[in-house]
Amino acid sequence: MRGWIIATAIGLCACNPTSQEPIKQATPYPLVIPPHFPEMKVSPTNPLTVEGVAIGRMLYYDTLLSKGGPMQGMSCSSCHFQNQGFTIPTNGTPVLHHANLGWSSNFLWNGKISGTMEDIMRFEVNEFFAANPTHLKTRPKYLELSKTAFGTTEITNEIAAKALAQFFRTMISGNSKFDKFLRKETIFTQDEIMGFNLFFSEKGDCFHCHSMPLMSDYAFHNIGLDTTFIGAGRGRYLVTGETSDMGLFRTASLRNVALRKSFMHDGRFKNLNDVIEFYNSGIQSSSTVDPIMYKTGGIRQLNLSAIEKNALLKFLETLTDTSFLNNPALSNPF
Amino acid sequence: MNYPRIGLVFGFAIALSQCKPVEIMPTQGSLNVSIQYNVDGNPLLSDSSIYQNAAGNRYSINRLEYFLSNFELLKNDGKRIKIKGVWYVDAFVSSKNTIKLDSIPVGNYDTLSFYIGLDSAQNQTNFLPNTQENQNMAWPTPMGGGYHFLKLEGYYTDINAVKSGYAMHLGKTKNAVRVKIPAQFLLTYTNETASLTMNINEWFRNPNPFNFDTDGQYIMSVDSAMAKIAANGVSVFKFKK
Repeated sequence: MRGWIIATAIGLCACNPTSQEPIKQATPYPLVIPPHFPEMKVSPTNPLTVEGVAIGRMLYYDTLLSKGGPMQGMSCSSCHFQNQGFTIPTNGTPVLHHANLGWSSNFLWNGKISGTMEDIMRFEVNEFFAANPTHLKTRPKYLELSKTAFGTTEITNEIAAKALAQFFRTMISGNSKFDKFLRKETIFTQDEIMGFNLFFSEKGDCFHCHSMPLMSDYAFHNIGLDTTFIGAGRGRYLVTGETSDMGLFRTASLRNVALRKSFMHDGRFKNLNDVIEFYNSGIQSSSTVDPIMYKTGGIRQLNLSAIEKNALLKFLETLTDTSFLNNPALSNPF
Repeated sequence: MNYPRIGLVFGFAIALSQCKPVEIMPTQGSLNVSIQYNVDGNPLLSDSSIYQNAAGNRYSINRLEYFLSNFELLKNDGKRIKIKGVWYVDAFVSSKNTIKLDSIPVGNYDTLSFYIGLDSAQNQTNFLPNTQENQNMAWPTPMGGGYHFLKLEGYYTDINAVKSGYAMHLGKTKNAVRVKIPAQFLLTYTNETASLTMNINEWFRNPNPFNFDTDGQYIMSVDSAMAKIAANGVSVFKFKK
């Protein structure tokens, strides 16, 4: 009799569906937004989780993402180096840096992709890398994390895009000397103060496009680099077909700008001194140059002194965020 | 048979049948205001259209952003209804051209007043909610802080017949535009609609005909030019219900 009871108990246990391994609940990711930053819009269908962000971080550094595609052997990190502010350390064609993109709804130099972070990541996964999920499945960790993060043991391109979107939203640079200055945690040198005042006044007039605190309005402008436009230099026009968009490009954020080796959409300038000199004396007129590039009397000339130009440079250097460059949560997990 | 008791029951039943639900008349309503634009009757179109202002400048418009705040409705009995709130408006984004004025007592009204811009308490750096729109409207601290009240930008043909740009950026508390316009209407119940229509040419007309060539094509921090535009702003809106 006793034996029957035990056997029945074992049988009942075996039949109990709850005896299967339960799906672990995803852990909400504690995203910390710097207090002086705007609220970040996060898709309600793709909330950040520790596990989702972990998949995104792995994918960012994983060449499996491109295996079998035209970018074979590459990952995001092949061109976006953390110690360079997630851009390329060479002075060729500039690679847009990855920082604070969670606040943008226009992506790539000409805004080819507009919408959410998920939209740009779908483009990156499906078109740029032409990812094949079959290759991603060979890494068991993706399947394990996906089960918790997305409730499935599959890793699809859609899941990869969502996970990358989650990771990108954590790539926040908001702890530079400039940020600490705003938070009254540090003081600027005299040069930096002069540069700050130039940047945020009509004298330098940088702030209209490079607005605080993201240092970009993420909108499109023709800043007067050229008088005629050919090839990729046609910028936003290539997306919209509107002649009024000829030569317009998305404003690059100046976060960590002092680390870059090339500037503008075509990398024509190789150092910040050249960039400052362009704004000082090199702006060219064209039919689409932004209205704010004019001053009364025509296209603007800043007429900065050497001291003022140096001060601007010193201010731009305060935008370097070493805690971002060294953030272990953003580093290569492999 | 207990007749008095039956009578009582009938009496109650009859009394109840006479009762109707008490209709509670709303004492407050709201006004949904849509903002519309024209340039002396011509539709506002980004970039493509060429307009002409009172000074004879031929110009186009590719940006029009501003703040509205401090709405007040004046009743015909002299009572003043204040409506708190600041609204960011972008003329070229349809979702940014409706404002809802809430908790307005029902009744007759004569006049509507509001600021294009912000009052002295509001026009402080970081006063407004920390949104990207508000950040992009910031008036830098080295220039006094606060916010742009207006960004009106585009192109015009200058005195040498060359295409040039203009940027009418208005800021500083003293340049907040107090608009006070006739608004005769009866607010009867909860959700009503009205429109505010901006004639953009009014920014350049009255009382100061504004010429980009002589008054300036870039007015931010140019106090005299900002004052002219601010004075003209008083008559840019008309109300209709």
